[in-house]
Amino acid sequence: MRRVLAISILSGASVVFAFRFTPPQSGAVTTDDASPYEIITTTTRVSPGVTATPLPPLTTTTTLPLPPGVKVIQGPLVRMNRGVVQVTITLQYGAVTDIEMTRYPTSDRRATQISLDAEPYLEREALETQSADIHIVSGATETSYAYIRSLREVLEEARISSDR
Amino acid sequence: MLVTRPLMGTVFRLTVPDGAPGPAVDEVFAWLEWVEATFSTFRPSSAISRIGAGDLDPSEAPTEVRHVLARCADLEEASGGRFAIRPGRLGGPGIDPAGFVKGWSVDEAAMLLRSRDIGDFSIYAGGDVLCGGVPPSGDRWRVAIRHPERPDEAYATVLEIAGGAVATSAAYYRGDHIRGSDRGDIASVTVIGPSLGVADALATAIFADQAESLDWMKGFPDFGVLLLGTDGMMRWTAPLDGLIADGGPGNRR
Repeated sequence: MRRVLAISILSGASVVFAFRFTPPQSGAVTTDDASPYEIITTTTRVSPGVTATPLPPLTTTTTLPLPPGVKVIQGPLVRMNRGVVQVTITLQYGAVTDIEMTRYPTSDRRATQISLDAEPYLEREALETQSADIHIVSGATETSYAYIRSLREVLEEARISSDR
Repeated sequence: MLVTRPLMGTVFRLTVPDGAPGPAVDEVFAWLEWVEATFSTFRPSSAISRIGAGDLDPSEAPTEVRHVLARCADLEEASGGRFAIRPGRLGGPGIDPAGFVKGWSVDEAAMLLRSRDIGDFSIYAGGDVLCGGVPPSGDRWRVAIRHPERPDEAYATVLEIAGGAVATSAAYYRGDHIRGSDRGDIASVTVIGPSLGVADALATAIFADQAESLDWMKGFPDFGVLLLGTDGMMRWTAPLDGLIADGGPGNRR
């Protein structure tokens, strides 16, 4: 154990211990001046046709005719530090039948697996913590915030379009 | 059993032992959905939006809303104004007690679980956690704190607790620099204690003023503070002493 400092750096004697924690092992983090989770497109309704997104797609979006009552809505592209996140939902007669992460940071190994459904993605993130003899992690991840941001936006769009 | 659900603008995860009664889990999420509907500032019909718009007198609001507003007022006073109910979204009229509601809803969910004889659980709500009873392995809950520089990939430390709340407020990836000083900036503030609503509010308040003073924390003797600095230093208050299991590779005790 290296107890580097034991000083009270804050007013009063509230803080009594200090300790150096290890810098991350791999390369430096590139920081982005843009606000995190910035929405860089608005929600696009792509049903029944498909509207091209300004970035090359990471997954193939279907151009087959959709079954009756089915509507596909792409969420906004949400920019975060390591890339762009986008959620696309499928509705059948107004009910959400599928949530897909159609764009994700390419540096995110977890997200580049084949199945990109919402629950598996978020649960994989949860399960990963258990490999390190850790029960739970405090501190929100950036990807899940960006994911939720896109998901909320697209669900809101779906609600509005079903009200019409 | 792990159940994940997007709620209140973030991710909620409930972990209970396999074989826990499904109806109790459904009750928890029904409760959280009710909280979201009641306290959402995104929904004009929510009680909190109607109070903000002047359409609903707080005295006629649901008991839970009055309770939350009273607790927020207490926290504002006890924290010397560091914690405060935010104004409505986009600076418009209204009130937004979201800084307390999320954690409080988890505290209440835990009580609901215990009342259904589910004593071993963890609830994760957007980076804040509450756990109780016995963990899936070992005797104490091992709660990792994300590394402020690489929050998706690394942990700065691990706390070992018998249960309770752990709330972390951080500015991961923030482009704007907060404030420099001899000791560097505070990159992340973690508060532990018996209530997630209070721990979350305190973490937000301490982060907002960059732990300029912690004297006012004497009013919260059951809560401990862990600060991760941009200078690579970890600092903590007495309630956390002995709970820090891992200072990271190379720093094991």
